[in-house]
Amino acid sequence: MPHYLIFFLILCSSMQAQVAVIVHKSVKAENISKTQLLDFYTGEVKSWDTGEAVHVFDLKIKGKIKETFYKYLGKSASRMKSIWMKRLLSGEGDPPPALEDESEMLKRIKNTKGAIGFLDYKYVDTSVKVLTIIEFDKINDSEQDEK
Amino acid sequence: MKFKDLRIGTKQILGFGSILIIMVAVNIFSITGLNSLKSEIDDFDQNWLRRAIAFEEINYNSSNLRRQQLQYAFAKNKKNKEDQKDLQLAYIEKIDQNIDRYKTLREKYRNPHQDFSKEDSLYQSFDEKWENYLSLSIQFLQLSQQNKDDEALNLLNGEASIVFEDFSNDLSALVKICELNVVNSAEMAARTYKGTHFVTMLFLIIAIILSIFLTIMIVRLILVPVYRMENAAKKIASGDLDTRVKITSNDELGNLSKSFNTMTTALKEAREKENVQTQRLRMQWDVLYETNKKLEENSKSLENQKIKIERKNKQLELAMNKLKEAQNQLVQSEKMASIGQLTAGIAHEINNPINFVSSNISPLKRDLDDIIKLLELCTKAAKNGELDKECKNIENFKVEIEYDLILTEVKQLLNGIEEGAKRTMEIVRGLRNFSRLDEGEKKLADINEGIDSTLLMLRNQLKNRIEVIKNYGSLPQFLCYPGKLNQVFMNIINNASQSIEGDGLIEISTWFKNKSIFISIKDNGIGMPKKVIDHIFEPFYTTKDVGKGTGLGLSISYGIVQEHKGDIQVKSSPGKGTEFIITLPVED
Repeated sequence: MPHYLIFFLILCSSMQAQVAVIVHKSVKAENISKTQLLDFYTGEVKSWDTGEAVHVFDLKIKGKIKETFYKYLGKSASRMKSIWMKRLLSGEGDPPPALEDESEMLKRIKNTKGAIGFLDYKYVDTSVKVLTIIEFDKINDSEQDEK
Repeated sequence: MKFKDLRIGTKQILGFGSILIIMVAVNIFSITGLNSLKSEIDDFDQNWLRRAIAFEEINYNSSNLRRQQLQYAFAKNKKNKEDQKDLQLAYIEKIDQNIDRYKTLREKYRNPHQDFSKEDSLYQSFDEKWENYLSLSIQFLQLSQQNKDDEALNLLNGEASIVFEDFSNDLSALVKICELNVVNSAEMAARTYKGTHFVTMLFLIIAIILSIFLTIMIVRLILVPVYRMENAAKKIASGDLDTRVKITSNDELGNLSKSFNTMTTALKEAREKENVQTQRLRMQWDVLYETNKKLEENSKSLENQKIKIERKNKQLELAMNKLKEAQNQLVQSEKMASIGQLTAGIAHEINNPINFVSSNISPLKRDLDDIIKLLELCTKAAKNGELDKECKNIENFKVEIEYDLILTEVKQLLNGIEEGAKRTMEIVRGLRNFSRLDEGEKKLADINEGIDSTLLMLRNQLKNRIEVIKNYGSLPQFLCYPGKLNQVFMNIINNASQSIEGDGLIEISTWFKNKSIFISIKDNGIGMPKKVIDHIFEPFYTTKDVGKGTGLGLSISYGIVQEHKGDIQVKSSPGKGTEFIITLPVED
């Protein structure tokens, strides 16, 4: 399985920018659906299926990776903000911490139990677990997350 | 081909067809015009106006949000702050709703021919600033929650204020763009309306003019010729045969007018001919009348003649009846003559057997006397009981009278008498058969038998001199007048025997073939030349000496055979003999 996956990922990386959704190694889930991902990032759901608390991380820098990820979720950046603004106003929780860059993202995911985040695939290493890969030009086809 | 030469139907189809096409074109044009009008109205009503409203709403609600945020920042008690939060939530919610509404409108009315680049870039700018403002608002909230009120207020009045101004400007610009588009669309709709209206009216007027033109054409092309023809017909009906219809077109009505004119001409000619004929007829009638008068006179004389002819006819009929009677008498007399002829033969024939009888009678008497005497002698002796005594006397007497000889002689004499009587009977029977002549009804008879009885009648004439050879075939019973046929056979055989001088031969053959009886009577007598053959069946024609024949024999025979629907053929040549062949068809 890993061999096949790596081969597949290398093949894909040569073509387009890819966003990897990564989690802490302790997370039991092997994959994640789009709605699940959306629920985590809008604060609708705050724990994994196992009951473990979810720690969501966002990227601060604007760019292709963030844009792709938000597009994949079907929400604009401003709408994501307004959602979290509303959560904050109604006391339902704080927005995910926005991290400065990908190396920090990698570090925080590696060190936080139940953490989930996203970053450019090329920064991924074995210290984290990849749940799904979002391909830049296949966003509109969606449902790709079942990998 | 000119228009006026077309058929009426084609003309009408062309006329109404063009009107129809124009009307359809008008309708299609109006409908397309209306459609584009509707889409243009929709464009400003449903699209641009609503976009403008959405942006106005965003603008209004964002202003409210900012005011609430400011109030929130300055709020003292906690209860107040919670209320401010709820109000802020409501405003953000409303802004989100209007953004969604705008996005939906943008998706729905994405006209590819229109330039949206300015609007898009403005919206992009607004969106980024709005996100930015939200980020700042979040920071502000988090700061105020952490009770860092001063920092929060600074944020709100500093950076957030600038961003707010910026996106408010963007929103105002967007509203302006939308309003501009509203005006544009409305103007376009007005133009479309005017254009459609103008073209529709134009086509309508054309259609009306064409209709009027067409009506006039129909009146000219159809009604005028029809009216002309009606007038002409009226004139002709009143007797004016010189009337002609003016021909203006080459269509059905033109043809009709032509035919009408031809008909009128023909009518006129016919009328003239009729007049001539009427005169001729009158003259003929006069002639006929005179002829008729003459005929009537003639007819009267004819009537007279007819009466005369009838009278003559009656006389002729009487004469004819007399003639028939005479003919019958002749036939009868011929019969009698042939019988008379026969009589000599028959007398001789009968004389012979009667001689047998009469010449045998006296020796038989004598012999019988002797036998009676002997019987008396015997009877006497027996009576006296002296039979034994007289026996010798009787024996002597027997010797005396040559008793044995007498017995033989008596037998011979009786045989002779029997023979004579038999022959006589035969002759009488033959005569009777022959005289079946008088029997009036047809009977089934055997032809061979008839020939035999005829030969019997003629035996005297034939015997010793002529040998008769019979080749009789088996014949069916034939429905005929046997006596009459016998007369035929007798005539022919008689003629045959008479044609033979000295010794000769007569061959009689009969046979049945193809439902007919054939009788051939052939002799080897002197025969006849053709000159004679041509006349033999004519009455009163004879080659015999006066008194020997009546000249009726063969003619009567011919009549009899014809009566039986038969035929007689003759083959003869001088010196070789004659053959008569009689054919009698047997009816089923």
